[in-house]
Amino acid sequence: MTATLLVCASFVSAFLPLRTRSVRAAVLMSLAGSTIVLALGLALAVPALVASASVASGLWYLDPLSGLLVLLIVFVGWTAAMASVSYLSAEARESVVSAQQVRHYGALSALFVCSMLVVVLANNLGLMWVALEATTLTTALLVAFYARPGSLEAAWKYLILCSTGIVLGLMGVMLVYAAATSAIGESGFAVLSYAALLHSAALPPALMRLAFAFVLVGFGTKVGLVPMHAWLPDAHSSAPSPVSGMLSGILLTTALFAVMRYKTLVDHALGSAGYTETLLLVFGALTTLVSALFILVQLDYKRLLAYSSIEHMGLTTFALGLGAPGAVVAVIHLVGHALAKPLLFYGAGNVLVRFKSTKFDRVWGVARVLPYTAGLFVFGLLALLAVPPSPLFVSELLLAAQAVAAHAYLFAVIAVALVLVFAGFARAFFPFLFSRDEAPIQAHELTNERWNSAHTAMTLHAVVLTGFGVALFAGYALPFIMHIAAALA
Amino acid sequence: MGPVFLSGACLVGAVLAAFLMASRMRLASLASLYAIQAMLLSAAVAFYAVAHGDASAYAVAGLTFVLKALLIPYWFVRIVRAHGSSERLVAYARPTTLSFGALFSVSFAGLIAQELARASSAPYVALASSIALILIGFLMLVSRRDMIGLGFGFLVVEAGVFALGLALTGGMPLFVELGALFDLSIFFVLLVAFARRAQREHASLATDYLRELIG
Repeated sequence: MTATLLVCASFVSAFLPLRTRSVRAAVLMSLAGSTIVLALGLALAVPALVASASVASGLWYLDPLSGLLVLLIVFVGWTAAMASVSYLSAEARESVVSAQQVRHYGALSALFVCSMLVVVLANNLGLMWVALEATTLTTALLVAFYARPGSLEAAWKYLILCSTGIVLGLMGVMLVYAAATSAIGESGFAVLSYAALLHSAALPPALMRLAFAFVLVGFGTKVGLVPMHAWLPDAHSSAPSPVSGMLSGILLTTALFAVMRYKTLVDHALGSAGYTETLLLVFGALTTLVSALFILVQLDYKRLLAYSSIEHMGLTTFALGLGAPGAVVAVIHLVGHALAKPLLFYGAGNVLVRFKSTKFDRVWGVARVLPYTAGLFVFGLLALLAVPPSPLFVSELLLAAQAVAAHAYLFAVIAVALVLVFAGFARAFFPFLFSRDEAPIQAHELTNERWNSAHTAMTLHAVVLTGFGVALFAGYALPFIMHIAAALA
Repeated sequence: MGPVFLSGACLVGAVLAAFLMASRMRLASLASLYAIQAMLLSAAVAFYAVAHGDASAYAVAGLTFVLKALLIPYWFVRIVRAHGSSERLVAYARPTTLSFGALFSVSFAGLIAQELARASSAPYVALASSIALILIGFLMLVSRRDMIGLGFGFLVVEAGVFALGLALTGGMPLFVELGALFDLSIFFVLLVAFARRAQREHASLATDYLRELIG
């Protein structure tokens, strides 16, 4: 009931900004809508996180893992709406966007959140697929939001590559359906019920193995796994910054969640996790290494953050290939990344509004021009680079401990990639933040930075991130995480 | 000739239409062939419905016919003409090379279908036809240099996956088919919106103008 209410509320909230007349009213209505969705999401997800059993009722399936994803989606959706207030108001003042565009932005953002909620709550693999494709369709226009060179190209690549990937994912769904109909002897919508498939009689291993390969390649395109990642840096760097935060923080996580659901089913059908884990380890290591190489040579700070998202998805995918302890690592890493990356994209939005460029060679000395933004941005960078007490420090430490013994060569690849990432971030962001050269802003423009809604959104992320990290170090959060990770077994 | 045989024959006909699409370089020709392919696919579903007495398959056949055989080709041609875009399409290879590529795709599909037929109880011809459609669609996606050709390439891949669903499972559940058709409609609307913007910005639908974002 609450799940239906949450999905309906997020859908209806898309219409709130459409009735407004000004930019200010449109962004505030979007924020009001996302606040209601946040409240409903908390009411649904918090009990699910501590529940001892999953709940399957008709269309919806709620276990601790989907509860966690709901929590992340509604929280990041809310902070993105908050960051959009200052970001879009500033762009509208400079006539970069019109009131009509802002209304559409609010509606599409809400539909995007709605489609992600359906993905993580769906009890039916068919419904999950439809909703995952809907995430592409709702965000394609947001990627093409600006009339800038490159926006159309990014949106076009996003539409064609992700839609093709999702169609390949549909082949995986079909193969699971074929396996289920042959095992159960029935057909129809209910056959694709996740809860029923989890407890169904032995599904044909050959079909399930093939299904996972298609799902990993198809949905993996949406996750940004190499070599299907080409759309991601373009789309994330071309979209408005709050949308980039949502794309990076929760869309990739949602797509990986869909892969996790299939992994559980396929492992159950095969009677062992060896097949899926091998594929995940290889894709994870390849994705981490290739993205690290691209991070090293980036000239654009939003693209660099996008490649960092690919790197973190690679690490999480790798962790998922490490068995039960790896599932704990993956959950910590997903939460840490989903909290840290939107913080950085909101900060990147403030920098873009002020410096009018996303190129490193046109932006430097940010700490002098935008001290609040820079302070919070540094916090986010340190968290992303796994500096304690970041949750990512805990996840990467646990990952190293697990991988060194079991897959030493692949871990060596991961270790090299992490060093490259650190070097790439230090090379790019040190002058960006702290260069003492004359800032590319005229002296009369160097007014004091005012606190805005994006700063509030960044602070909220920083507080939650710190709280989660401290809870992990103190040992309070680990039982919860293990409880959530058990849903992957 | 029973309805099952006719359903398989329609799928083979759809592959023939896709084979011809791979090398066509004019919008009207490509749209007509796509409409024929969609008609054959909806006929394949209808024959399947007759053979198995499946009422929901009739609905899927009807909707597929209306959306893919009538609306999409008609609107594609109409919108491109309304915006004065060139109806001459471009590719990285010559039509003869593309025809050989399509022929290779069909042969390769025959080999893959043998493996898949062993793992499932689906008919070989239907499996081979649907995989051939998917591979020809991918060939179009990698060989075309304009938004129209790429759009049709995606539509052929989607048609192949639709046919694979019919071959493997007798069609997906109605709700999933409706969801897929709805998503396809939105995809088409976005495709047209981006094509119109490209025509406005670059006075061309060629993807050669979409090469700024590298690295």
